[in-house]
Amino acid sequence: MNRDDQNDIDNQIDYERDPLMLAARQLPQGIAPGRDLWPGIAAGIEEQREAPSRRGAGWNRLFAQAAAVLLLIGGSSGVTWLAMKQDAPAVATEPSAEVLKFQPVAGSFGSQYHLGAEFVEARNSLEARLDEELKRLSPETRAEVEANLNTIRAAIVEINLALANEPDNALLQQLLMNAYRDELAVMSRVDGMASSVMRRNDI
Amino acid sequence: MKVTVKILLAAGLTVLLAEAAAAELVERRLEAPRDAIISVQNTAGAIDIRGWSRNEVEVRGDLGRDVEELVLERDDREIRIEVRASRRNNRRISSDLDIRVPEGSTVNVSGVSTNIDIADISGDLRISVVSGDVDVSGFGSDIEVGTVSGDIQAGGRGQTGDARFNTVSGDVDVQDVSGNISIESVSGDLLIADGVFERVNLNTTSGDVVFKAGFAGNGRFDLDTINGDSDLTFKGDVSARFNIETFNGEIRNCFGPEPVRTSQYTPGRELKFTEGGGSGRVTISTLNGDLRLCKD
Amino acid sequence: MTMETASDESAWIERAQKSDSSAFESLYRLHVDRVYALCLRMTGNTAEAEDCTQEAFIQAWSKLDRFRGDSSFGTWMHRVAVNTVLGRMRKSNRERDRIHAVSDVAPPAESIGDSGGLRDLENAMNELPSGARHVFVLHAVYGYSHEETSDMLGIASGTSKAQLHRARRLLAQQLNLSL
Repeated sequence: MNRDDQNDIDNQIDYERDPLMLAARQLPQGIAPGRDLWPGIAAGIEEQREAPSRRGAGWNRLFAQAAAVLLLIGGSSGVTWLAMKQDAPAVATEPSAEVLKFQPVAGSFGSQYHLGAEFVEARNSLEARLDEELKRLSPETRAEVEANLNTIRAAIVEINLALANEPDNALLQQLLMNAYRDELAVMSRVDGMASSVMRRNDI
Repeated sequence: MKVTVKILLAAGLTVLLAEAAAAELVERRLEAPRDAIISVQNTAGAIDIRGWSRNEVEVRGDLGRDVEELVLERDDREIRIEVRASRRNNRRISSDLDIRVPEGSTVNVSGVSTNIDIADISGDLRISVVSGDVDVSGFGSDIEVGTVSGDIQAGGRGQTGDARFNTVSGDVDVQDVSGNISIESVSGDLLIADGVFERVNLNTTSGDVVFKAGFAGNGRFDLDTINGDSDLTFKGDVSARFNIETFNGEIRNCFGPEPVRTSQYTPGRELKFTEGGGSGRVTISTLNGDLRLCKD
Repeated sequence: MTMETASDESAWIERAQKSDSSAFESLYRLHVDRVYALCLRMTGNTAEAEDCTQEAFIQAWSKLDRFRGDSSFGTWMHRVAVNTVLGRMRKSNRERDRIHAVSDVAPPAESIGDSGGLRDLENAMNELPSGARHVFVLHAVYGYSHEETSDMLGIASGTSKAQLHRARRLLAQQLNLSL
């Protein structure tokens, strides 16, 4: 075929006699897969039902031993401490994943940055609501959010540990500030999203 | 024997038809102004919106069985489209909406586990979804997209405007957009390609960043990442002061100057240099992420 | 399909729509070969075809209430499968762009399906560019009209015809046919 007239292309083909089209029609309509794919499908279907599957937080070894870590960050404008505890959340029905909880205390850290009281308040109230808000999302999405919040929290701890050695490191102070701000942003956005979900969806 | 089989078959078909009555295919149409403000809400399924030259909104809905109704109403310039689920049963609410709107419309979309596809709209776009993916192409103005885990793909027409993307774990791909761009993600990766930017604001916790676009003179480029790796290629002329700080990351700089240690005893490197006239400002800080900085 | 199977199928559909997963499994067993074959020919890759097949059935489960019997269930499953293939392609293209941008490693070459019984035509089909291949598979192998094909692929019907033309030209070259 060497004509480019697209409107007539279709009319050129004699489906009854064209060797290519005949061969194509004779190809097997079905091909058996090399293995049974049903188990994967069954698992996918189960996930869509109300089967909560909490993913473990998968903590890195930083927190393996510490029951409580208290950090002192000295700065020119005084001393501030951030207290962190490793908490086992008391959730009745599900196996608890390790979730790091923070209780930052308002005050200064380093010479440039200041963790304001309003920030701490906003954060605490969002955190208190977060569990409830997360319940409105699908188990998958909820697990994703928690994993990502844990990513930020792990970063916060890592930066804090580095700051313990270099309290006046401006880069670390800035990164820590950013991380707290990011954590707050994620929590408040999830809060906003979840509240737009009228009711729980099991899709 | 034959008779029995026939009856079974007939019974089967009858049941199918009865089921068919429950879930719905609907089609609605409404006149709309060229500069309509359209809001669409669909909790699960898909939303497909295309701009057209008619002064009309057309909605085709493939509605889930527990959907009570498809709302389509107009109040002057504002048009509302909503998939409304019944209060008692809300398992089967996944619905697909195929929508055509005047191409100059402003469009607001929200969903939860809804995949969103929008094309050929020249008005502002605002999209919010939890776990669906968002695909926007041929948009002509400002855009704001927020997802939790959904991926975002946005292709502009080279127009200058404000683009804002916000995600927790979704990946973000933006192509062919100019002006101001701001992207925040925790673990999602970012890709920005083509276009020329005056203000760039990129923020990730662990997501990687690839930037291959132009940076206007007098521009501001801010990149903050904790653990993400970054690959930045500035296309065209660059005139800027660079201020880069990293705690543990590697820096590879095609512009020439090498990073220096900030202290002899602790990790930490900084890289400050000026390229061209130094009219813009590029500020990058990272904890552990590697950085590759190049020109075209 | 026999008369008995047809009535079984409609009973299974009815029960599956009421969340009976063993009825859905029966539907799966009845249709998996056709769905897998479509995925395999569209993607050209066994592993990808297996993933597509699974994802298609999982998708189908969640949308089952919207199967209305306008078409046969097999055709409906094919539509779901095509959507799945296209959706996965979009995602993996983005992934490939990103990998390509970040490192100097070339993206991995697409592996040709090799479930041992592929004939020359199947092999030649695998070599086609994806747009032409998709149209050829749906139109020539499975007999969907240009209208149905273009609808399933989300393209214009003129594009579907042009892609078929292209597919035939390339296949004829590959197979040394004169058409």
